[in-house]
Amino acid sequence: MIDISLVGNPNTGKTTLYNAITKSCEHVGNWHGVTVDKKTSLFEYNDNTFRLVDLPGTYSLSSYSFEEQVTIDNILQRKSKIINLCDINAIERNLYLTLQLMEADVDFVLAINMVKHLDEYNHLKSKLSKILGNRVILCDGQSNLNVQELLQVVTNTNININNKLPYLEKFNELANCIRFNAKNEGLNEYFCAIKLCEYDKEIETRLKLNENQFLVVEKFRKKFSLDFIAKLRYDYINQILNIPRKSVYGVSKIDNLFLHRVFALPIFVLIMLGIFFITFDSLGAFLSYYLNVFIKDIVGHNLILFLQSVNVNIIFIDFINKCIINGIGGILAFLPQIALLFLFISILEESGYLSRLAFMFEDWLSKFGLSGKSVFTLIMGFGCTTTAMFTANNLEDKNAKIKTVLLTPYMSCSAKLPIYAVFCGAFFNQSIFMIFLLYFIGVFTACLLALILENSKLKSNEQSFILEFPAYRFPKMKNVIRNIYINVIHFVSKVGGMLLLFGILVWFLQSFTFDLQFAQDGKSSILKSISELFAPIFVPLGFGNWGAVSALLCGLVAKEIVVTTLAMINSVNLSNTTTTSILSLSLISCNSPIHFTGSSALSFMVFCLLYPPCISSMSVMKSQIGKKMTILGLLLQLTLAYIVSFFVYMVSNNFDYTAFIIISVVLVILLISLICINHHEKNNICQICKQKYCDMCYKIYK
Amino acid sequence: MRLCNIKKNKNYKIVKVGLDYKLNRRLADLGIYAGANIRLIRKSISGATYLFEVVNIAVALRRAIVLKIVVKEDD
Repeated sequence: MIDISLVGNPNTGKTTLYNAITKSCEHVGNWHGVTVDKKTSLFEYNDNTFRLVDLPGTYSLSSYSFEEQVTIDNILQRKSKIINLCDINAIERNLYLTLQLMEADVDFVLAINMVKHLDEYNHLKSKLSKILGNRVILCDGQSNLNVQELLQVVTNTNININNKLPYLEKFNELANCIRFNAKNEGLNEYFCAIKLCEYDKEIETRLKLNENQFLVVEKFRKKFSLDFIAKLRYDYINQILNIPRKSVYGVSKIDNLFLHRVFALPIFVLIMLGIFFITFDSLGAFLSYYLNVFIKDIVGHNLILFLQSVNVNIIFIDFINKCIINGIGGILAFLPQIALLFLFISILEESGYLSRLAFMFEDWLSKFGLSGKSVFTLIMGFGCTTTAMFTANNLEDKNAKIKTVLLTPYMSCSAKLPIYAVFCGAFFNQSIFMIFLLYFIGVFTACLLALILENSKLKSNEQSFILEFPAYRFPKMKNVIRNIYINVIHFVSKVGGMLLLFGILVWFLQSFTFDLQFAQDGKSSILKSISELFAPIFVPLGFGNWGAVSALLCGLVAKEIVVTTLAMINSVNLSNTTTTSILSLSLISCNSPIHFTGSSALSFMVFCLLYPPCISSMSVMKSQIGKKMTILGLLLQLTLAYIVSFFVYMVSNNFDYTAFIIISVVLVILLISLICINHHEKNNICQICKQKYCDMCYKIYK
Repeated sequence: MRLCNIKKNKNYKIVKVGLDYKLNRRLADLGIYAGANIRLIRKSISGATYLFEVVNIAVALRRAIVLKIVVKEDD
């Protein structure tokens, strides 16, 4: 079987072409770094089977990240035919990688992508054909333009360009000196010579040079600096292309509004409010409500009636009712909201607005040691922590990525809203202000934690923000629908599967005693016995009863289960629309198994807000930042939840809610002061020599 | 002068990029190297991030990087 690899700069449409050739359904977007791992798929062409490999984008054959190293290794192993994809709109910069492929003597076909009209660029094709022969194809993966011709060239021809670049002769001496080492590694000697002058550690390690060879390398490094080599390549590209300058690619007049000093932030807030309103309040809530009614009241109710009519065992009916209908059905009811959330995310991704957000928020987030690109993960955290954490893959700086993932759970996710609704309804007259205050506590705690982490081993690399601006594009409906489909399927299969397993476990613990007797009311269940062990720990927080602790334990599976558990223990049936207020009333009543005071309710809500996220988020967290950091993050969350809830309970219990609000305001002022001090200190230190500003570094350059 | 001090929409030539080799190489990949032309398109709201035009594309850089690039006016 013949392998064909797609290689090119980020955001040149590799995955779009991959989807077009293999009829796959991989995620695409209009920003740099959508593909973070290589993907493979088989396809048939002219009665032969080929394997197409979609590699993460890279700007050169010297790696800057792990993803780029995967691509470079794949290229240098020479096990597959290569399609080098270039974006017609940024052709000069894209050909920089093409030249490196030629330096490495790799066989490839040059596919110039995003060409809408072939005639328009025929002159460019003829210029490039002078050095690459008939291996230059103009195409467009999005509209399938010339894709078959591209496959024809790649699959039917033995690609051998064998065209030596004119500037390579400058490196003759060094290439001859290291020829033997390069051949041993299966690499081209000229490629290695240039990479050594560019201080490529990977190549340096592979070649195992002796002392004499190093002396030659040092001589060449002095003669041919990194800048000199870049100039050689770009001069050669200009010599080939010789095209007049156009308007800069990636900048639009719309940016005058979207990045305006005054209007940028209000526009962003309006967009986000719109997304949240449609997803979680109006259309999303409407669709979820009716899906919930359909699953529970129509399907679930009739299924239970049917099972009762055929005299099925009561334990099995209880399992179907609690675990399948309320558990899995409850999750499925969120599908419309998830689909809507990803509809908006896809539109934002496709349009190119994401990169503008990263640019806009870079300043403020850098004060917390985060990257501008963190903003998307954090904002999406208000929707769903699990899905938001996946977007952290886009961050280059490892420490910024760890911090972003650790801070995302503090953004109160939509699953916590029912908890706030029930408790605010019972104790705070359904105050929207109280719900806003809870969101604020989450953001405030995240800011404080970010400042602490920035002064720890997780200090971010200040220099790491380099971002290429993509041009605005009108979102393609095909891509948007594909992204929604991928995420909905992912949610149902992965998260739904895991929730079903844990749902069965929770149901078992709730429904059985230690001697495996069925306990339908749950009052003598295993869960009660376990919860009673932990209950004394929560006495200082005001809710040291087994029911509240059971709800918190079950909430580790999914935050939605907190309210269901409270209702189950207080024996409230949640099958009709007025049950939320009935549950609220039961939480006030002293006769109920679980009852709260105003202070303990506030403390309980704060604990729910800050304690570790659901099991699926923990799983994603582990895959993103590793086991050690995940455990550390969860312990931090647990500790902070306990401390903040204790503080909230003590203040609101001993004083009143006004005092609590005043203290919150004081804390905000304290946080702003901390940020200002941190920023002032940074400004006073020279970014070059790390000394106080004295213009010394500037003089050296001058 | 340093890159942070340049005027908007005026052409400059890069004289020196004083970063570590890895970052220097990455910037060269994007067209930012000694001898290249550069133009400031805009600064962010608080002026800590800059958007430049290099080899016909727009690239955003953090101030810490911009401080270490020396430029001169292009004739």
